[in-house]
Amino acid sequence: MTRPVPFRQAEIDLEVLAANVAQFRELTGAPLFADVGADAWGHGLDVVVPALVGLGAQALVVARLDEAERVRALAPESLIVTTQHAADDDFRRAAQLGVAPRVHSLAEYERAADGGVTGVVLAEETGEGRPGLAPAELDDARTDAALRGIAAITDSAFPVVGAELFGVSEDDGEPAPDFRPVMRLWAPIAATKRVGADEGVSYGYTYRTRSESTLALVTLGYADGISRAAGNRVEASVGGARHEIAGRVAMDAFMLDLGDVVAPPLGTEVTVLGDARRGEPTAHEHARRLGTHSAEITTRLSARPLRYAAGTDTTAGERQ
Amino acid sequence: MTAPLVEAVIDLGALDKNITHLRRTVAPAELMVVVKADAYGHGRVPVARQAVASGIRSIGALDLDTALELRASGIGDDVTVLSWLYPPGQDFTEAIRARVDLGVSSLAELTEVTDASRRLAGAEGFVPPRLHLKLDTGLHRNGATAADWPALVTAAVAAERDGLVRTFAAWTHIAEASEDEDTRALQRFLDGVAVARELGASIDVRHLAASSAGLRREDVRLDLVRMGGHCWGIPSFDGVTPSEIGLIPVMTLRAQVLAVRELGDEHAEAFVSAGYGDGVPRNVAGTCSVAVRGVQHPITRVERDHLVIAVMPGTELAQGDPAVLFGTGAEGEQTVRQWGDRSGTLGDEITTRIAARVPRRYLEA
Repeated sequence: MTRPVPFRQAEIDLEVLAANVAQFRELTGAPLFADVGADAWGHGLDVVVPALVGLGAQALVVARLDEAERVRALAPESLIVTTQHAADDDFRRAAQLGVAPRVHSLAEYERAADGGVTGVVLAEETGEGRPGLAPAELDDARTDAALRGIAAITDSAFPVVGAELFGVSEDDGEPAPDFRPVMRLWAPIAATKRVGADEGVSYGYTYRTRSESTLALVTLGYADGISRAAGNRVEASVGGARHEIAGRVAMDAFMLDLGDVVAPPLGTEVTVLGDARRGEPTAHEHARRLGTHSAEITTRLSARPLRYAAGTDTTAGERQ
Repeated sequence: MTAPLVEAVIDLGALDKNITHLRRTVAPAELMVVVKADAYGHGRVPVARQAVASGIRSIGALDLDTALELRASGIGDDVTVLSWLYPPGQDFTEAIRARVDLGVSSLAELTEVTDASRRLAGAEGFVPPRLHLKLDTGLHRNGATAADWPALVTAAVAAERDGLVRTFAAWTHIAEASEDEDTRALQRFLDGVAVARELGASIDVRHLAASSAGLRREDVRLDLVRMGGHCWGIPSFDGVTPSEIGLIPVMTLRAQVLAVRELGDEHAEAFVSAGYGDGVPRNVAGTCSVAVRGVQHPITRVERDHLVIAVMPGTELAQGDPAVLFGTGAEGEQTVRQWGDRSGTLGDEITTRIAARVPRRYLEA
């Protein structure tokens, strides 16, 4: 799926994704059980899932069956695990999709087994967070699964990696330096205009120009997932130069004050989330200024920006 | 059939009532229902269809992807569909064929429109597109500045004489920074309309106001008022509840209790199946609550796929209990306007950012 002209764009760099996967393997030596829930942390299942399959992911993890159904269509052969199930789920749809549910209680295990699933992940009780199965319950479930021919593994045998593969993190602190951002969110400059000094910009006039200035309209707004609170707080980059978003982020656009310069051509790329190595603002920087973590920044991007693959697909050979 | 883990229930009956109330309020001005950004998360096609069934004859679409989808979904050309935000290099051929009204802010956009018209002009059934010429009255986003306005209008009038476009409407967005600023913007706009008419533009329709000013101020309504937020029952100005201005919230966000953990000392926390991956902002933790069995339980943490609530003392929750995050208040829950106020934004941002992975369920009017 492509647009003839760029509008709101999320470029997914599959080379960086492959490098992050290689880095993960080098650091952990673990199999790749990849959490691609919430549209692969906002990166887009359609682009990400085939790439991860090509990179040899041993399992793809999502929260719910609706998501599993989308992943199954993209990964017909892969092990898919779901982590969240309705209290009255009979697990027949999971069985039909060939999905292995992660179950959180013996009762849930029994419903899943009765529903015909052929594999389960048993969530272990840790004393905090969402409850899991106590040691005795784990034993019961494992014994029953063996009798029924259901493959059963516990959490400890199923370590899942998630946001880090995409170069973001649910950690509020520093980003993991070993993993690079996979996404570049950008949009073209759709309009420019000259204004005088001390002119208000965008709703509520929370920003005023300091001098005679060139303003640029960028077609990303909070409906795309740029927080409304990002106005006067986070930066975007234009041709390597950083500019703070001027005034409130509106639903469909934000403004940049480029200063007293000649207007750049329409269509000039404005990068909102990218890689610090290219001098671009990152999801981590945005997160810090907005009081959250970088995983929320990418995950809460809406479906509107077009996700498309960039970078050489290094997995094409392996997929034959 | 199992209960959905999370769903946004859209009450089209409430939408119908809101639209009817707003139409009466702004009359004799016309009401345009703005369904941009997937109708602020409510679903553009079902919302637009309901709006038409409720008597609406003007729909604001924002972009051509949305406008063309609405036309393809059966919204016929007796209903105005307006688009106004385009990437540079937009091809207007399909839009003109589909009789989409076109907001135009600059000579560059006008040229792209007239290029497409010229290519189509010989074809059977060609109808010159109706332009909504946009003036910047201070918001400084799109719209021609006062300095550029005469040239834009003059070029549009020339194209109209060539049979390529119609100079149908003039419009602007106002900043809503203050009543005085909006009054100044109104005056600049009326001056701009006078200039345009002197230059030969017909300007049959003038529109400036959106939800907030459109409801509060009679003088800004002119010929048409564009509304999004108020149609979905989200008040767009401070200090009022939806019911105080005659509106009913249209979206109710529902989930269910996944599990309860007893923490001792008669404290417990419960896990609810909606998280930031569903569009629930992390910063509602500590500020907003979830209603279960008619009682509000404060949100303490928001994870990607679930959130955690502190179970109110004296209440007992169980796995599978229905949980209401926000809605009309009928089940003891907060409204999305309250969620916006408490988390430092607009209810509009909250509903608009409810994720695509949350299924929408429609209650027919």
